[in-house]
Amino acid sequence: MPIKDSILPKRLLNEDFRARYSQIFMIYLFLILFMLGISFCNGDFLTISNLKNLLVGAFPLLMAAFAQTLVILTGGIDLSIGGIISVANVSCVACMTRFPQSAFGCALGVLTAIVSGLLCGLINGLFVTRGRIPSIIVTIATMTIFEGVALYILPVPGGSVHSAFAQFLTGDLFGVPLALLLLILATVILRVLTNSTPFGKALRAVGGNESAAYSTGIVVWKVELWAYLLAGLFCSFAGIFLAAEMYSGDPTVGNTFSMNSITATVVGGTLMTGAVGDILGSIAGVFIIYIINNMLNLLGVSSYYQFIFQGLILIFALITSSLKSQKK
Amino acid sequence: MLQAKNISLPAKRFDRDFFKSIAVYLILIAMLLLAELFSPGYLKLSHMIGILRISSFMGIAAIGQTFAILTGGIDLSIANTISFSYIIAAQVMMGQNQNVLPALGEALLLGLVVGLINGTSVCFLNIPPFIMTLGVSSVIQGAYMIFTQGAPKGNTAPIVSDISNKSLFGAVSGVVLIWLLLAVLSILVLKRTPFGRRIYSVGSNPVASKFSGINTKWVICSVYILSAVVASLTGFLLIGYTGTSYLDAGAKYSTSIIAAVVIGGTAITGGKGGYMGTMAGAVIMTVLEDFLNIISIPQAGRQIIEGVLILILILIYGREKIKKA
Repeated sequence: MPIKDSILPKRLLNEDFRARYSQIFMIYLFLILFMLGISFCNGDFLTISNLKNLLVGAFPLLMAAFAQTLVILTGGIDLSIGGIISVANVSCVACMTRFPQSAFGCALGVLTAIVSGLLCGLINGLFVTRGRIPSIIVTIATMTIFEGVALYILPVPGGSVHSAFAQFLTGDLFGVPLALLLLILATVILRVLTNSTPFGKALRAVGGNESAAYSTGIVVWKVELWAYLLAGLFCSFAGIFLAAEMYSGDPTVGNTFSMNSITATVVGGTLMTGAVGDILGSIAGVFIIYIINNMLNLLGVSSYYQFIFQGLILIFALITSSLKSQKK
Repeated sequence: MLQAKNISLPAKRFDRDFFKSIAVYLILIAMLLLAELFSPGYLKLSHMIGILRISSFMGIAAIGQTFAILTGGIDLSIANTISFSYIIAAQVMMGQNQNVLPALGEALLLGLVVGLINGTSVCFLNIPPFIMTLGVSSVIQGAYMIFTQGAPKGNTAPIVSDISNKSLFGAVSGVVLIWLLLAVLSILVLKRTPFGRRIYSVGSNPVASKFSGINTKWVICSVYILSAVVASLTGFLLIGYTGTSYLDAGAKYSTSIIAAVVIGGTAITGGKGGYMGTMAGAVIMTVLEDFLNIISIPQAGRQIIEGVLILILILIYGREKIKKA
């Protein structure tokens, strides 16, 4: 009867561990079964080169999903993520085009993208925290603003990117795709940040119950502001990577990322009400969505159906998570 | 047990919401005067009639959004509902007058279906409205893309075109009259009927409403049904205005309608505000877009200025109270 006598490791029997990881486990199980299923139909799917392409292609969405997860954990939502990605993308390309193929232009481009991402995040955060306007309204407005800014900086797709930099980002390092290394690095940092540090706990506390968090001494507005700043930072990473991938800039490149990042976050088990959620889940969510989209493209399904699938996946994930919480 | 009728919510003529709505009208007048300053001839009667006509589409759709926001929710699927019903109406009408009623019926049916999906999910499945309507919005967009295969067909019947375009009695168009009629109905419903009082009650305090015997689930559900049906009506009237069918007709309304409601004094958290302010908000948004068009600012600049102005107006109007710890 006593747990000590059981042969199972203590950890697995710990209620807390099960509660936190069971959902992630289920999502990854689904993802793996899904990928196995596809490889049955299409033998080329589980090859190294295809998986590499998958990772490089999904990397921007991964960054966007990280950004969205951070914001949703505070109980908010960020519809302007697509806009921030577009701004970062075009500002990076604009700088690189201004100083073509020079290391200075490259560094300036990356720096400008990061600064613009942080600036956009700051604008969002300030209006939400100090302006006391709900995040949905703020980000709907800033979405149009940022899209406009991107269109202003680069009215039509074009420009050039530092080729060595682009190849470096999308290529391999020590035989492993750089994207994978960056992903692991970002995951480790973010996961530790959101799960183990006081900041992460404050983040979830704010998402769970803002006034209770305030009562425990958390400076709510600073925590929320940092969430939006970090979201802007990760959006800028996505924008830079997209510039490297496409070898050019596109002012509307970010358009699909807002909806997709929300869907990925929800599919990954993060609750829209905040506080509950895990970065690992969002990663699985991104891959599920990205692979489905990829599959539809390969099967020649028209892109119209992809719209419906996006929405249906989101609604399905919402319904299942709500049914699950109602059962408790 | 307290019945909803006995709750003494402000039903007086001159409550606080009323003063807030008056303030919006002052802002509208200020904007019109500024516009006249920068672009002389702006206040010409023919131009103002045109502005009213364009605002009425936004105004009608904003009825639903106002109701939804008053209950503390939001409906993000309005824009795509407008687009889809627009496409359906065009396809069914095919330019024939005898097809008008079937077209209207099918458009409203679409609104009913969308509204039922939104409403039941929000109240029975407890899914937050903004994310549910966002998802449904995406599904609707995919649905009409597949329906039209990217090539929308059909055009408006003459009757609908007359309603939405020609001026009756040399002054206002039929669609403006429809808007005014619906507006009066909405304001009466909100301020004078038990249903309206229940909406305010649910928006300001859902828990207390439930314990007062109000069927909060039915109130919330009906609001989303209303929102979608009104949006589909807007789509139907819109085809009369533009003539031929095209995709994404409702896209430009997505942010403007929300902005109109919030600028009009309705609190985004619900429970406060009303449709009077929304009407002014709709005209403000139309004047804004129109003025920026007239002074020929390119698309990018227009978006930036619109977004910034929306933020500023919301900052003045739509803030939540300072939360006590």
